[in-house]
Amino acid sequence: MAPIVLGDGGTAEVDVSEADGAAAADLVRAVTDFIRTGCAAAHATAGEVTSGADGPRWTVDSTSQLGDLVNTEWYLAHARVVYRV
Amino acid sequence: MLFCSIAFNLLDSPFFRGFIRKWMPGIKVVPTRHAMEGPVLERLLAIIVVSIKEASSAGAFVSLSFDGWKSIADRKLIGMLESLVDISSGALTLDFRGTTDIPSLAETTELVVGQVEKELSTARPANDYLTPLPSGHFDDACASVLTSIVSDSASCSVGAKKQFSQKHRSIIMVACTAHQFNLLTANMITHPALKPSADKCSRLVSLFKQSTKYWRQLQMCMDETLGWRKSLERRGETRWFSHHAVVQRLLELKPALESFSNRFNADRALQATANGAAVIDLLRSQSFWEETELMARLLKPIVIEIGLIEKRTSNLADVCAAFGRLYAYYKQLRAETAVAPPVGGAVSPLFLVAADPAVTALTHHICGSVLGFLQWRLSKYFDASLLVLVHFLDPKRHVSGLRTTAGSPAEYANLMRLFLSLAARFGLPRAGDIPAEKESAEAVKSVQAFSAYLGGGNKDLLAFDFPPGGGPRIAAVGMWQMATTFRGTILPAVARRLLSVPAHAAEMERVWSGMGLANTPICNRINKDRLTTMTKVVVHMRADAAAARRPRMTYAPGSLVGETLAAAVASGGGGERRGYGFPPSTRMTATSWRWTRSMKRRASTRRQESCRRRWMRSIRPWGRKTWRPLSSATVGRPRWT
Repeated sequence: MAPIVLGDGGTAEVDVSEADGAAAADLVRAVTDFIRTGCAAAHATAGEVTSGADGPRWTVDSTSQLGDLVNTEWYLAHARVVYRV
Repeated sequence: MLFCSIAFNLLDSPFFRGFIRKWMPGIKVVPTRHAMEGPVLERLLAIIVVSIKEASSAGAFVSLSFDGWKSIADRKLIGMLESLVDISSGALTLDFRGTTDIPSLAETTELVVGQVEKELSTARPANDYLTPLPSGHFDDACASVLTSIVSDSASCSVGAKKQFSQKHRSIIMVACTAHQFNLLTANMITHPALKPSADKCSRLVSLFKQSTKYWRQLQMCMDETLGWRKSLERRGETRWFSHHAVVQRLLELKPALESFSNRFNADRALQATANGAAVIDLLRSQSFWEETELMARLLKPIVIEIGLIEKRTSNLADVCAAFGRLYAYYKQLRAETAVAPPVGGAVSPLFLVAADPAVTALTHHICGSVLGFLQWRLSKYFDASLLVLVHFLDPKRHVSGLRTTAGSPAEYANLMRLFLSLAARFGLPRAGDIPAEKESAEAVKSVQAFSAYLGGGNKDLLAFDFPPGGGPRIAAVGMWQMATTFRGTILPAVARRLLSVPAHAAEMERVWSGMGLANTPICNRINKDRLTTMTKVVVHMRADAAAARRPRMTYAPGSLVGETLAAAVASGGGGERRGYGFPPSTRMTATSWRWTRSMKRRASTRRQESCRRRWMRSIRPWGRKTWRPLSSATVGRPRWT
């Protein structure tokens, strides 16, 4: 579970495995507003993903570090095949 | 005549007309020069216009790319090209929109913006495509919509894209990845630690390019030591593969070059030339060859990535994968060259550590710089959130290769948020489409669909991954269209629109290449309109030829080849009967079958090459049978009589 701070200031809990359960009620409301109202103006990099337990988490934006984006081991195996090394 | 720089007035030559009649016995009328540049060219153009019109009226995601070019007569042109990705099948069509002469104008942001606006205003009345509405949704008046603008990273292009992104928020602005990776190779060879080696290579090539005498001598050395001849490559700042080609060709010709240096070590004439003595010293220097080999190995991954990215059907998902592979490779290389590799380690090193510690330290140093440049280019020119999302929405990639652990950018909750943001940016769903009382239900459906896709829903789409054929096609767009699993939600619409965005502006460079074929020093007075028309025809004919060609069977990411090979190794071979390492019990998937066929073809090519070399050795070059043995008297003179 991670509370999502949406463009309108509201938050929503997200657990993708139980999105259709009772815990998703807030999310549904927030998503409805998100789609319908001016929150559409919010750019992908404008929001912030936070965690209640361990403080703010960083989100994907223009300063994202490659090491945090990609799984190095997986792509290393891929690179061995593609580069034939 | 369009491809080979043959002037149209050759058609008036009776000899050429006679040749055409003999070459094509069934031909009824050989067009005259005026017919060729008039009715014939116009007819070809009309056929192209009709096919493009069909593609745009069927509905397409349009990407616009633009670039500048200077003709042989020093005329500056700016060109526009659109790529149409069919909304349903993902089939790709190219339309070279035309050029504008900008003879005395500086290339500024305002100029580029003006040209793009002019192009949009041309497309609007013809109903070719329209820009999205301010809400981000399509305009119903036209079936095709402009989804992205791609260009190189010239300052005027970047400025123009910035202005357009403020005006049209839902249009995605993309930097050409092939240009970016080419600049990365330039970053590498101009690195202070590698620049001296690159300069040495250039000096070496210059000697043989400037002196026909020594070039002939080198060719003789090639005949003796290698049995074949190849020319030396020259560096070009704007030629994407030239940096690597220079060093790779030098390494291929190493035996011949060493033979040359041994033979002409004491040659006074060579020593007296400007670079002769220095070149001989280089060729006899072990450190020079080590540095050249190092350059080739360091440049090779980037060159491979440029080759993958510049494919017609590559999209932003490929960009993310390319960054991932390059990052992983250079990071590993940097780690391996930091300290001596562990003896008997489970993982074999990517790169053999050189005997010379200086080369190892140099590799470590350069890898660190490359990682920095890679990160800088990602941050400055690309939107990481888009790259991550499009990687995820590509059914063949999904979350493979992304870090999805808690706190990572590709964490599921973050992906959900990115998706919703993008859907909002695209104006999906459109206001008024859904009754107010059903909005919650629609939102639930969207969230459920995304959750299902996160939980492995891509497997449903992979069932529609049909083999390529019938022209270039973005397979992922077709998969999202055909799969019924997520129909009725906003997920397929967002995915198809995002996956249709191309990764490069290489098509525009191909257009200039085609234009360069017609615009040569002997055809430099051809007018701009005719040149543009001829290029349109060339672009279309090339695309048709590429579509008719049999697809190359290569390794596809995500295939089961790796697993199959691993199974073969684990079972202790057993595939010797087939000769390709596959045990008889191994399940042969379609991909592994294609891979096997590809390996067979390669083996066949190798056999043919081997036969050809034997034949070349047996008949001697130039087909002469007389052979005069080498002696000191013959050095410096042609040895073949």
